[in-house]
Order: sequence, then C-alpha cells, then structure tokens
Amino acid sequence: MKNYKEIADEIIRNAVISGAVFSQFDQEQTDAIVKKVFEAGFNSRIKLAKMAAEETGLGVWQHKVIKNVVGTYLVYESIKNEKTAGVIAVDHNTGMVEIAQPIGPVFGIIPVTNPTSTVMFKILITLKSRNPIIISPPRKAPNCCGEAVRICYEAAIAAGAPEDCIQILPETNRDLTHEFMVHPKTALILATGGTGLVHAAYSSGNPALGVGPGNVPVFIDKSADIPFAVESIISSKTFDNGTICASEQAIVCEKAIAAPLVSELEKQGCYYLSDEQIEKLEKVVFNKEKGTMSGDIVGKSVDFIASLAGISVPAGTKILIAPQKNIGKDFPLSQEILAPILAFYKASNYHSAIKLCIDLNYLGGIGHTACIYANDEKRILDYSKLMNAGRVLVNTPSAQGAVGGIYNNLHTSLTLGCGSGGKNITTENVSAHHLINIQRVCRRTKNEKWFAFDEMKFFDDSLSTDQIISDYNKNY
Amino acid sequence: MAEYIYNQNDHTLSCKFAGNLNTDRSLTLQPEIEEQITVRFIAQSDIRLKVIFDFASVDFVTSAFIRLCVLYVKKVGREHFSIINSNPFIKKTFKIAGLDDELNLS
Repeated sequence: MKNYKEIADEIIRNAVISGAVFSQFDQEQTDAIVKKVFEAGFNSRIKLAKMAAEETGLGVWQHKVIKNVVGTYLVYESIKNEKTAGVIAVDHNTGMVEIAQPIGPVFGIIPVTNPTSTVMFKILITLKSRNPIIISPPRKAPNCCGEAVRICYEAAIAAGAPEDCIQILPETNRDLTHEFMVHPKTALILATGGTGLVHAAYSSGNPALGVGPGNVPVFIDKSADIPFAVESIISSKTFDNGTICASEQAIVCEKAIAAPLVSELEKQGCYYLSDEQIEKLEKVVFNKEKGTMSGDIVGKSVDFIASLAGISVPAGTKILIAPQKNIGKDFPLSQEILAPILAFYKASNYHSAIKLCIDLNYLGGIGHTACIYANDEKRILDYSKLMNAGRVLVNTPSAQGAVGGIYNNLHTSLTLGCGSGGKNITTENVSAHHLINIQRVCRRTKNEKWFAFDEMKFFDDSLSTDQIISDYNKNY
Repeated sequence: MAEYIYNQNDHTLSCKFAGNLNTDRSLTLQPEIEEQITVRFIAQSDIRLKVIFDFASVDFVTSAFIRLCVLYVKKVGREHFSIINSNPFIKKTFKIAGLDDELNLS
C-alpha cells in the first residue's frame, strides 16, 4: 500500500515525463490535440451534465449542459488561434522574439459546483499550453469528474498527445491534495474552490492561480431599464440554481426606485421575504460555526430551500428576495450564498447606495466581480472605479457575463482572476496564456543615448539631476 | 478653517470639514481640533465626549489627515468617534486603508 507521498511522486513523475515529451510538439500538433479534446468533451456535454446533476444533487442539468458548452466550445473558440508553442511574437523594430515554453505539471482542483465543465476547461487550456495536468476531483463528484477526464484523455491520446498528459487522483482527501500542492515538481496549482482551499494553494510554496469566493453587488441605478434589469438578474441568479461564484448576491438601489423595482421583481416571479421568514431562512442557509453558507443549500432550488426553512412561498417562485438592514457578519445574507437567494438593500440616496456596494464588495468578494444596471455613463464609470473587482459587468447577467464569450469579449474561462484583493497575480479570466513561460530573445541593439553620454558624469556630485538628464538626452 | 458645533444635550462635538484635507491643512487643523476637544474635556471631565467628523464637503484626504483621525479615535475611544457623510471615493480610501470600521465611517 503506497502512502500519499509515494502516490504523488509517481503521478507527478509521469506528468513530468509527459510534459517533457509534450515540449517537443509544435503549434500545429498541439492545436490538433486541443481540437479533438474539445470535440470529445462537447459531444459528451449532455451525458456529463446529467451525471453531474445526479451525482452532486446540485443545480439544474440543462444549465450544466450550457456550462459544458462554455467549458468546451466557447473556451476552444477563445484559445484556438492563440500562439502557445515556439515563436509566438517577433518585433522587427526591436529585434525582440518571444518564445512560449510550457511550465510543467499543472495541478487542477475542481469544485463540486462545476465538476465537469471546469475539468474540460482546465484540460483544454493546459493542453493548449503543452502542459500535463493532474486533476483533483471534488469529494462529492468523483464519478462525473472521472468520466470527463477519461473522455478528454482518450481523445487526446487518439490525437497523438503524450501518455499521462491528463491524470486524475485515485481518491480525494486533504492530505493527498496537500502532497500534490507542495510537491517540488508541481509547476502551478489551478485552484477553484473555497477560501481554505485557495489559501492552502497559495501557502504551498508553488505558483498558484486560485479563485475563491465572490460577493457580487448589483447596483440598479435610476437610469436603468428596470424590467430588463430584473429579467437579466433572474436569468443569472437562477442559472444552475446560483452555483456560479460570479452570480449576483445583493441588489442595491436608491429608495426612489425601490417600489417599482420590488414590484417588478414580484411580477417576474421573485418572492419578497418578511423579517420572520428571513430569520428562518438564515438558520438554514448559513453555518454560524464556520461563518460561511451551509453546504446543504448550495445549488438547491427555491422549493427545497423554502421547505427546509419552513417557509411557504408561491409555486414557481424563482428567487427569494431578502431585504437587509445592514452588512456584515451579523447579517448572514449579506455574504455569498450560492443559491437562488438575493439580499436587497434600499439606500436613501445614490451615494449611500454606492457605499453599500463598496461594503458588500469588500465583504468576502474583493477582486471578484461587480455588476451595474444603468444608462448613465458617468455613474457606470464612477461605480467601476469604486469597486475592487476584476470584472465590472454593465447591463449584463453576471453569472454568464463574467465567464466571457457570451455577453462580452472577456476570455472565456471558468477560473476568474481576482487580482491582489483575492491574492491572485491577475485580474484576468485565466486562460492558456497564463500557463506558459514567455522567453524573450533580445538581440544586441545599442541605446545611442547611453553610448554617446560621458558616463563619468554619473559620478560627478556637483552636477544637478537636470544637468545630467539634459546632457543624456542631448540631440546633437 | 472648519466649523465646530457642540451639542450640550448629547455632548457631541461635530467638526465639519470641507474641500481638500491635504498635509498643510491637516497641520493647521490639528491645533484647532485639539483645542476644541481639550476645552470640552476640561469643561466636562465626568462626561464622555462624542466626536463626529462630518465629511459632507470633503473631496480629498491625505495620510496626514487620516493620521489625525486615528489620533482622535484613540483619544476619545472607538465608540465615541465617527466619520459621517463621506462620499463614496473617500469611503473607498478609508476602506483600502482598512480603517473604515475602526473610525466608524459611514
């Protein structure tokens, strides 16, 4: 019986060899493999979606089909023309040449909320960059995740990819995952999951791109088209029962438009909760000991959650709207809840509304995503400047907007960079170009100013900075 | 330089500032604020003074003024100090500084 370190050593050794072989592939060979893997994943989108919904009990299988389409086809469309092998850029003016080098074994951690789409997405961007990937499946979804890996691997091998370019952990537990995270041959960790997991990835000593929780405020300005905004928010927050971390968490508006907004929310199938109902709801959606949402309600339907909380809601209710008096740890619904529940804030004026959004943004969602519905350009820009978010989505359903490729030209991705606020190195949507080392070949070119300048002047303390700079820039 | 209003009923000193609270202004304001607070403390040593910095007309703060805020929250106690009416950009400045909670900023 092998111990966890021995298991990690063996799998990573195989990955390292696979990566070494992969490094010899050119762009054409690489692209052919990626195309075949995308096609195999895309062809299995329905089967995998049904498996994921059944195995996890989360979300809506039809929506998981869409996620699989995003994770395969739209991801493929966004990367297929990227140069990721060999010479990727030449600047004829400077003589600078850029060469893409693979980074080595990528350790991909998969969240239970997207157990097949994120697998296929991570595999595609990793193969596109000629790296091997080791998948760590979610504890509650090993079968569907394993099936996605098998489908992609068989397609990759059939297309000529090196053996062991895709591997999966034989089991999922914290200790085994830890061995892979801290292994000296792990080149990069692609971590998607909860705060603890992402923190562990960053603490491993290996490079990591980790995406943790969001807490997306959505400000509905008085200049917004209210029926449109409500329809858009509902389409986003109900998508896969709210399992996307970029989905809206709280609606904020000015008092002046609160009444028509609430009326429109109700008209379009949302249910406005009473204080008593909110109290009941808080008890089931929030785990006070852990200080986070309860796993029991993640990705569950309104009916299930309402029943669990002992609340009676009209048949067909799409979203539970919970008016809140404040923000913070004492107001559980002001935090991220990956379910069809939205906090609701009515502010006395525009400035108060924006300040509420700042507080929501900083309450566990720094660097992630923010959303605004408005037709006032100044307000859109002001709001954007004030949010600490990698993506500020305008008049867009945030769950589908943040992943790119549907409502905007963001790189299609299921790993959303959250910048330094989220302890990430990037605010971009993570893609293949984040998984290569770019080598710059710099041919000798002379800086004429430097060679024309008498460098002894740098050692002359009697010269002022202005005199030195002026001499340095002298154009004879 | 600033407007100071003392409410004897609830022992609250409101300090209304305006414009750009840069380093020079902070240096000028500090003795003013100090005097206002000291006078109240001396006059009513048995009563806890509440201090409110009203930022309704403030559009820029420097680190010198932020230091002043920290100085006075320490002096009068966290529960007796607050900053009110900040505009969203000022709020974000204090948020980034990690001082919005400590200074009871709204």
